[in-house]
Amino acid sequence: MEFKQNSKLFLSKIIIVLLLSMSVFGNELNEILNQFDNNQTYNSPDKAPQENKENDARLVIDGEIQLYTSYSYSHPSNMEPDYAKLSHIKSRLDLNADINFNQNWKGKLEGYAFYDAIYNIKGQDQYPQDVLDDYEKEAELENVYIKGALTTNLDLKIGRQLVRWGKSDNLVVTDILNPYDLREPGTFDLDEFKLPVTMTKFDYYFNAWNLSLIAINEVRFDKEPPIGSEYNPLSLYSVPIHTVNISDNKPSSNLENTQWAASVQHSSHNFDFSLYSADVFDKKGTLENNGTLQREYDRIFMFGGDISLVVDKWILFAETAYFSDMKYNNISGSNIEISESDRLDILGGIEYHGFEDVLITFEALDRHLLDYKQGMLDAYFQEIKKNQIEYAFRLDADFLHQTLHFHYFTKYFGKKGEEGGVHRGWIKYDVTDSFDITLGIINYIGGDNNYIEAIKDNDRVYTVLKYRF
Amino acid sequence: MKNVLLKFLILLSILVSSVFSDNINARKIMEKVNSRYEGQNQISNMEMILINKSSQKKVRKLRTLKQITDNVTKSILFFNYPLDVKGSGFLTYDYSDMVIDDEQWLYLPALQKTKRIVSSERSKSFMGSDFTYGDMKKHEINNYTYKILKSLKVNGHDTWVIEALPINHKVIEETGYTKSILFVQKDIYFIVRAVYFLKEGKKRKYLDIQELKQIKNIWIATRTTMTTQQGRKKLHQTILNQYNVKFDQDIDTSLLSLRGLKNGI
Repeated sequence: MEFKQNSKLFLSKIIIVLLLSMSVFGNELNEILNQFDNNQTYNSPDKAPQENKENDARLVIDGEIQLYTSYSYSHPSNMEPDYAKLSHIKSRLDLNADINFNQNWKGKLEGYAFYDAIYNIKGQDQYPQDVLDDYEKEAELENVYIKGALTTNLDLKIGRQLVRWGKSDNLVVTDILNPYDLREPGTFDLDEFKLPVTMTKFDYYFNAWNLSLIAINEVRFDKEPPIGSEYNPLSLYSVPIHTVNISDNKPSSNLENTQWAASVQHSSHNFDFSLYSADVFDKKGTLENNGTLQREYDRIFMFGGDISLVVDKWILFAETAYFSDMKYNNISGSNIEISESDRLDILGGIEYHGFEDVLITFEALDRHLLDYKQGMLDAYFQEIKKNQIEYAFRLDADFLHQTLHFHYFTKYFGKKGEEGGVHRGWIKYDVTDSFDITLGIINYIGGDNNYIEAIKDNDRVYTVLKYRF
Repeated sequence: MKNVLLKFLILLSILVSSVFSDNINARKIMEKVNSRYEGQNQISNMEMILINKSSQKKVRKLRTLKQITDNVTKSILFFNYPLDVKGSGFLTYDYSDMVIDDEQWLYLPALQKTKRIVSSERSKSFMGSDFTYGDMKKHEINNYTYKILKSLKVNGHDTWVIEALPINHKVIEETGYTKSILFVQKDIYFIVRAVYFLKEGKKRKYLDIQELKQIKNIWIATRTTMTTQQGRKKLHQTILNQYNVKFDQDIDTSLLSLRGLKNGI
């Protein structure tokens, strides 16, 4: 009897528990459903875009206005020329036109102009004319090209353009077809410094292969900091180099000076490789003494390649280039001589993509001179080593639904970083879709490398205000 | 005593069989949802409006092209807006076989550079929105057990309310969700609402299809909201509009390649 009563009690308890749990779950479900009602009033949705022909626009013009200001906090004050404290107040206008001729053919016309008011404010008289010419104002056409499909497998792109070779984003090995704007090294990303060059480029595609043949019709060289500027100070030289008359014999753009390049790229599942070759002018040039000092530029041949492999959340990559017949100045007693050497560049790198909206990159590079001689000089007439080693580390992270962007970049020279380097950190905040603000800091680390040691006082904080229209 | 035990067993068997048959039905429903024809290819424009808790809006406009085959779904998308990312593109190869890693490439127009990236995991945010990459893909049927919770009318249409529970911890890690409640419109087997329970921060995400269209006999959500909440507190919302939608066009499939990524669509 007692057992029967206990059984009934047990059964009742189970039913009550079941009913209660169903009730609790029912309440949870109802609460969830109520949230949908709230959603409707949370933000009254904008009207959905109407069907339109926005994809068929023939001409789209856009651009941006930016104001770049920097404050050099390490530069000695009370010196002429004055690069201390407020060092740039540069306003810049970029304009871009995209043209769709038809389904297959497109064009681009892009240019910019800038004016830096700091020289006017501080007094132009104290700056060398070359500095004013290079840094105060400038207007140029950048990408100007037409591209389209000649056949189902063959594309043509003709005009001023960028060609990107290699896997590295931070160090240059095979990416040599476009020159660089080196007037403010370390202040922006390497890719942002690339200068477009007029080329005729054919791309042939078959399966996962891409063959490119390129005629480089324009001879364009790196933009270097003029002597006496922040990034090429007179203190770098043991002689008053600004008083030495050097004629610069840059080759002109003509048929004879056409440069050539070719590449084969293959992409398969989680694996890519490429081969590159180029017959181009060596952009650093060499000094020759033919009664007067002349800077001459010779052609070099490059053969290289790269490979990349995805392993879980990592991308491993390597890049190599062999340069033949590179010319270097070298000091022999009081004479400047020319010596030749082949050079082998080898880079290894790794990227980690495992964190959401974060990319971490590390790269290491050795530029090895195969016919090294004591006293060989670089473009700034500073002695170079048989192995020029570089390291780069980079962290990119996005926050607040990709509204706040944080970046950190560092690059060091020398086996143990003993030759110096640079740190740069910056934060970009997208205030609206059209307006963003960047705050950054650059810190140069001096070392055994004479050039980096000479520019190490260019540490600065900077802001960029950018409005797009 | 025998009577009590008998009653208990009958009640238990009714409960078990009811739950079991619901599970079978729920799975069949989800299979029909997954096998609904979505076209062999699709071209569309996409507009994402990202709204933060201060009601500030950010707009992303994209042009997309997708091709679906048995083995792989290839998709390419290009940003039209905002201007700082205009022309940037993503090419994705999403393989049906879960063993094969998906592949993804990025195109940066300012640098005219194509870069391979590690394919974004399903739990990661799609372009900074409240959608994840996994939300943009089909539900993996075999990764879940399903149960019909009830039937309900949503916007005047009958729906099944189905609970989807991941079969193991790996699925939770991959998707970022510990549980989903899916509202399947009965007449067209379309998920018109969903609640996703995030594994982190006791957050939930509310998916609400606000506009459905039938184009070439294919149903497509042309207006969707996804709202991330913590309790009753709204944290962020994304409105996703699709327009200029075209299915089964005679497209050049070579566009869905690195060539297409470089040249645009």
